[in-house]
Amino acid sequence: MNNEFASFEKMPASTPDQPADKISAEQIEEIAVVGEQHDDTPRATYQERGAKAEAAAGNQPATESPEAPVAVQASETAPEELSAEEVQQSVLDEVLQAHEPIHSESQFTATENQNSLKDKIRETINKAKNTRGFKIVVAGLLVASIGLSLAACGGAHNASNNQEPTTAFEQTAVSGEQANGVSYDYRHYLDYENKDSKNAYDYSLVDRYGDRDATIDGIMDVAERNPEALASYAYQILNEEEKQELGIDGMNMTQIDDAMSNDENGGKLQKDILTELEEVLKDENSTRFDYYLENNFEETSYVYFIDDNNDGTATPEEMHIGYSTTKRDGAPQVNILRKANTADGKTVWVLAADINLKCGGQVNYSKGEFPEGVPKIDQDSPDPETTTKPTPETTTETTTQWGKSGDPHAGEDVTKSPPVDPNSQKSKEENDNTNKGNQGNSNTKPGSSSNNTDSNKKPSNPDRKSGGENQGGSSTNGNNSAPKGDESREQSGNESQRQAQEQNQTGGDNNTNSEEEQRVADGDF
Amino acid sequence: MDNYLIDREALGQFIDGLMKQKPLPANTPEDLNTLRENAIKELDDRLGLAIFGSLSEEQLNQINQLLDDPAATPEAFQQFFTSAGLDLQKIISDTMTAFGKEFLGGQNE
Repeated sequence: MNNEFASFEKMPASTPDQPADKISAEQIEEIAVVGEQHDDTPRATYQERGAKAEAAAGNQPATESPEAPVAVQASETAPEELSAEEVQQSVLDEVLQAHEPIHSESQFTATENQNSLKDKIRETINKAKNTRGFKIVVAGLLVASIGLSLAACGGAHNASNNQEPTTAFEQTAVSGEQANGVSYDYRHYLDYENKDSKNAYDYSLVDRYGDRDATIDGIMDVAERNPEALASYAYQILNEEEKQELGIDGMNMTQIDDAMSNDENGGKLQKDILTELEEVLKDENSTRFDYYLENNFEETSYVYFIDDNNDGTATPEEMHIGYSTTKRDGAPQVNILRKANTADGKTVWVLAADINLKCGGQVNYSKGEFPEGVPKIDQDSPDPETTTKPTPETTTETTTQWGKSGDPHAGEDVTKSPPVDPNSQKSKEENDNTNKGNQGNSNTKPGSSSNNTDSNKKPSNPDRKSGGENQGGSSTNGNNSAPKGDESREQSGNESQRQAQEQNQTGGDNNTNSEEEQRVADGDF
Repeated sequence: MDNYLIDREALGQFIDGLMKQKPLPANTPEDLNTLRENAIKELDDRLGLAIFGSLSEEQLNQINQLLDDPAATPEAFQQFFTSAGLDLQKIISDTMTAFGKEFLGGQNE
């Protein structure tokens, strides 16, 4: 037999810094021995149990199948024939054997009592599967255990830990302060052990899932290190009034980044944005964090490095914001919602930003909704067209308002907006593709600047505000402070709300067209 | 809620890593996906059973009460396991290590 344990140590769970590495082979053997003390039959392997189940189902084992593509002693389809109950029962028996000493001490030796205990454990597991608090705890531990990386960040690599880089690689060159006063620290992004990472903002914030204060600390830490991340947060989270005060109104996120990285007063702007952002995030009265697990396609932002100077070092001038499409699969994320006043004087919670915790707090958008002005770079990203899409489910009122998935988020205390005609409610998937529209209506791209879209080079364009001029200043809802980044979106949202109200008052038009649905979703109404 | 106790994406990535070392036997992408899903499900089951199987009956009763409390926070669960003297991180790591070893070893046999 090969030294499979040594091979397994190559896995993330067994990297030198991970807890799994603390588990000795002896400990593992000890567990196995405990189990074998109660059963002379060698412990069935995962594959063997699959083969057993297949045999029970009347199938032939794969060892008799010449078509087996690899030299593996298992059936062609063995595990898929294993019912969930069989798998669970098999695993349950093994776990109970492994933990026999614990339960023996508690005098659980009789079969009857063991069965009772089995039932209780099973019952507890089923409860836990439906308990958000427990799942949050375990999810955080698991992610910390195995040091997640890879595709969920929208690319091939990820700077996935929050340990201070220790390698001497250009340490001073990738952190510091530019002549215009902009400070930066790309060490996590560049990840000394994986310095070609191109798909994250910084280190993972997953361990902050469910903890608002810790999440804010993480976001601010990333924002302070990475001007590009800060630009995306400012673009997405700050409302128009706040942007005007900072002088970044009408800019897209690339332009905000450009202003910090290249303008003479970029350093001051960076500090002002950081101050404003922190104030907004910490305001519990007007900002809310809803945690959830994302399972759909997203267009997600990240930073990438173009070494203009060919010196191998990264500075803000050489770091850029891009985005790619990726499929999430239970990714821990947080929706940041802000209170906003509608034109008719109502206060509603509006989705301001959707943050992917795993990859340093990337800002997400639904497919096709990423704001213009940022180049799409599907570098090493999975092809969304070749990945199985999740089965659409009927959305609920809650998910129609805010959510992107059926997982827990979108608190029940959301100020209820005018009800949407049931016939205009979309499937979950449709909703996924539109509810983030409140971050940018595809028909009224915020801060768009087409001269930026086809270039990987960060624009150093004195006319960068032109994108805002193209789309801004058209709002007729001067009192609206919805944090949607541009007035056209606010207008769209208010228009949607108005239409929704009218529908409600008049019994609604069941034939709401798709454009209206889009606007309703855009406004989160 | 999905039908998993653990972060399914994380489990999936772990399984993917194992499969890169020792590919699962499948003739079609659909078969491979089914095998992968089964492996994820089994690992999820094992983790759940390892976590709760580590508890005494009395502790099981206590955590059931906690699970029945809709207001129970993540911190409450963390506190429970800390008080119970259980190192959840280690249980999870142990279980995944054992699963990985068996997964790879099983395919070698």
